[in-house]
Amino acid sequence: MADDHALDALEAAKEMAGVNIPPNLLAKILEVEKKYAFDTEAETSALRELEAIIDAAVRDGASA
Amino acid sequence: MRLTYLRLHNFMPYRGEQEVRFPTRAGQNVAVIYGDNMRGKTSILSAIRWALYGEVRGRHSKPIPVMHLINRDASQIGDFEMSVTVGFHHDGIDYEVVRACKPKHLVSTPREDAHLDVQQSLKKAGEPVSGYLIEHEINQILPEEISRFSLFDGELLQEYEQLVAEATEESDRIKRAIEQVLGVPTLTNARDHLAELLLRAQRQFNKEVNRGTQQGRQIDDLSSQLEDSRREEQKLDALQGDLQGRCDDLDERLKTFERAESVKAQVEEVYRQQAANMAARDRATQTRLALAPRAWMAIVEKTISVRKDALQESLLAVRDDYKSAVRSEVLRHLQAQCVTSGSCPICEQTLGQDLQGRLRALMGSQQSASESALGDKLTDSLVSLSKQFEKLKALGAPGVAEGLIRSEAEIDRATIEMQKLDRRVRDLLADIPGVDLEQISRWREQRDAFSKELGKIEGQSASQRAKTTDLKRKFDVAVKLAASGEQGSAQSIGKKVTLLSALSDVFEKSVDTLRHKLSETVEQAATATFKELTTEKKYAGLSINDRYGLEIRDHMERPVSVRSAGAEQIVALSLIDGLNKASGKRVPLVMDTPFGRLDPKHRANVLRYLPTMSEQVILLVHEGELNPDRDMANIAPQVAAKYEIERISPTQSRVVTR
Repeated sequence: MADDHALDALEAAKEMAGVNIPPNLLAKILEVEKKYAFDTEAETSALRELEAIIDAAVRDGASA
Repeated sequence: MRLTYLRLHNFMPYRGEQEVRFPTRAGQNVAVIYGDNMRGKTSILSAIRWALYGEVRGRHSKPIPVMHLINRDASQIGDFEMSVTVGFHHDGIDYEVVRACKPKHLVSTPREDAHLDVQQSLKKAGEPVSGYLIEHEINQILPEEISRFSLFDGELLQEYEQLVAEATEESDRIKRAIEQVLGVPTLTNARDHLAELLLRAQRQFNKEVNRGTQQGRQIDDLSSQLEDSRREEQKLDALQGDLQGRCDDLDERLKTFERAESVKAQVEEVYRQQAANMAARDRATQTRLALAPRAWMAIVEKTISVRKDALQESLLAVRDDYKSAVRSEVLRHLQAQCVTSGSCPICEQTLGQDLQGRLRALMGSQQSASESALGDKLTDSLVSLSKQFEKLKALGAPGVAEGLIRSEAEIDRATIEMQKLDRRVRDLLADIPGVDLEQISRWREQRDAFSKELGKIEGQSASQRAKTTDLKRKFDVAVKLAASGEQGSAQSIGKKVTLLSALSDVFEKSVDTLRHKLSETVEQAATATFKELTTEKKYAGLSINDRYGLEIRDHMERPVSVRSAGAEQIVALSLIDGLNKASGKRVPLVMDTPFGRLDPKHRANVLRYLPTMSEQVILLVHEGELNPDRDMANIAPQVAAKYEIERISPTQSRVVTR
């Protein structure tokens, strides 16, 4: 339920900001952060996975 | 997550091996463990926490040393091995986590935690999980930070009261924990991570832009150089064209005056001849001037020559006479010697008498004195004639006349030739009336100068063209490079920066939205729970503040400022339920002494409601708070397991089925 709220909040913020973010990108980011949310020693892994997602989105032609 | 069993070995009051199995069936999800005070109810909760997180906290959240967790009776007899095994089921997978301690190698009697070797292991579906992944795996299921809302001591529920009071360090800590269970860190971490990635990308972008700028600068430089080179080339081409035009113009003019050119060439040839002629005349004049002082000799040359011939003839005659006289004298002398010596002084042959006589006769007939006088006379004559001849010879000027004649003739010839040449020039020029030959010469000179300059410019132009070609090649390479890899990279990073910036913005903005939404959700869920649990059904419900503190609202929607300990516990249980519902986490509720402050009516409400609060509820209670006969009726259908903690000694307990 909290995850749904997080995604809803992000979608609302996205609408408010009026930016173009690829579909599922927010959910993918949340998925990574959820995986490492309580793993303070995995900061590097989280950053690496996030960057990979962002890079893939940029490669796929994402722009804000 | 549902706990399936708990196995204890020498953990706190539980000496030796003890095992408790928990219910996992839906609808019968409650286990009740009775135990009097100080028998080990909290130790059950602590055992689960220690197995999962490696730490047990006592009152005031103070960590308890591992040494103090080992059963005293066991350690008393030198048995320092202790372990807790927790079995649980999550998302269809069975897990078993074990934490065990034993004395370190060569340590016979450990006295502090440093003397103990503590190990944790985890099996997932029967397979061991690597050590470094255990914590991560457990955090995915029940993170320590949120376990306070799952594995909790009812006596500590009053700490949530602080949430409604002023912001304190403790209330902030609880708020952080609440936000963790609600998943806010997912968003805040993402926000921070995205900000970090944005910073990195911006740095990288700046670097790329700088690199791109350098490339751009290089392209600009090359472009500028190329432009300059092309301009220079055009300038040279224009100059070349201008010079070529001038040359062509002059050629055209010179062609028009081709006849004049030919005449001019002839005139020039005549001029050259004139110059040569004049030089010859000058040389002849010089010769004549040189010969002139001796010219008079040429006039008397003939007279002197006749006299000289006569003198030469006389001289030859006298010389012959003189030679004859000398020969006669020599013969006489030889004869005298022959007569005197009777032999020839030359061949030394003896002369006969006859011959001697004839010689004497011959000698007697010759007049030696007169002959001697003739000799002297001839000598004088010869000397005199020779002197005269030499004087006349000195007066002679051989070649002067011829020289003068030749000079005069050359001068005359040259003069005539000059006249002829002058006439020729006049004739030639008459052929091209009105033509300024000097102008033609100047044109010709100009044409030659232009032609020379044109050759030079053509060389420069070729060199400039080569330079332009080279610059164009470099420019093309730089542009190609910029257009492909490097610039592409900068563009890509630029897009990444833009995307990260937008994401950071979205995540930043969403945090407050999420907090607000979660607050609402928690408030609604907690209110619903509160209404179930409270005996005052007129209350409007609960209202939440920004620290997730809950206040009771009376029937007039006014905050109830003074709350009883029981009400605090009800509100705290409502908060925990609200949080668990809002978080969507399916975690077991292990509650230690949750009913201590509740009156029977509230206790009944709570007991009825508890099975709905989680998929699994484990109650650690004493009979004073949960009467086995009276209270259990409220929950009996859902209770699948009942245990009792039995006292064995002041330091030992055991769990038995009740």
